[in-house]
Amino acid sequence: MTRRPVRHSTIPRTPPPPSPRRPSPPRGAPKARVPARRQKARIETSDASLLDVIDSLLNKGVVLNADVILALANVDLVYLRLSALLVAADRLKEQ
Amino acid sequence: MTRTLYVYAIVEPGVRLPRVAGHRIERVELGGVAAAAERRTKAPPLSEKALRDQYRVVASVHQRVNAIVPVRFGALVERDELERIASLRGRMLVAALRNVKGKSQMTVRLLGSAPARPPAMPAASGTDYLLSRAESNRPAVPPLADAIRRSVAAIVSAESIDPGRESIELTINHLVPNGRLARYRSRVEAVAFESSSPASVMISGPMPPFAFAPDLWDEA
Repeated sequence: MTRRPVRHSTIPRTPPPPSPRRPSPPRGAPKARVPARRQKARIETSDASLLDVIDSLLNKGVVLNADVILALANVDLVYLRLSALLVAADRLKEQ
Repeated sequence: MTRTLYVYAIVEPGVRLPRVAGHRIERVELGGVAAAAERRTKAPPLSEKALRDQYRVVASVHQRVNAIVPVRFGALVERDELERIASLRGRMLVAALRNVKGKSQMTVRLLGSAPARPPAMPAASGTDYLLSRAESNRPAVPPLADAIRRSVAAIVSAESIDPGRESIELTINHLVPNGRLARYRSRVEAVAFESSSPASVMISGPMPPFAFAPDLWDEA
């Protein structure tokens, strides 16, 4: 299977270039030869941004388990494990 | 003896998982699905290093297999518990794997300032109040985001939109077939360049389809 490179780019709202198509730079071309405007217009990294990492792993993805503590006035009252709750709910449904 | 597993992702049964430096990822068969997991006794403490490390593992698996449903950070479960969850939510997980097969997530963020939410209006009834709250929580889609969505509508197979916060005006997640990733990127870039909107556009991906994982608790 081919590797899919991860790319991240930011396109600030600078005056638009004459064509949306970017000329492909020659292989091995030194960075200094890239026009300054183009350097400003695009920021690319080969690694996932921290924003992507945080968004993906803390806000997305399947929640397999989680612990919930119900508290009142800073006093912990009930400790729940979501997976236990799921099992209990399905058992109730079966009845 | 109880065996605890740290789960990175749900994958199809029988797939071959990659070797990832620093980890011993194993496939745990769970009937109609399998888990890409590692034997551990503790979940890693939350840190940037741990998050990046887990992302690297999930991305490596995503590059190797056709279908992957990533799991949220911190999923340390007992083997029995994992089997129980898989048996209760197996159909949902199989459907999710089918949905993401051969696809990757692309994310477009509009950078600017998140729009201020209008305060909920006084309501005559509880239902009216909840409806007005739901309406005020619905992300407002700026014209640039709408233009981007229209430009890729024929390419993407699913979409989810997250409301803005702080310097992010809006986040759009798209599920894109792997063969159309380059076309997707060029269309988004073209719209962004041509737009007169003051917002900047940040394109991320391709990445594992985190935003298209099912909510297992929805039916509980």
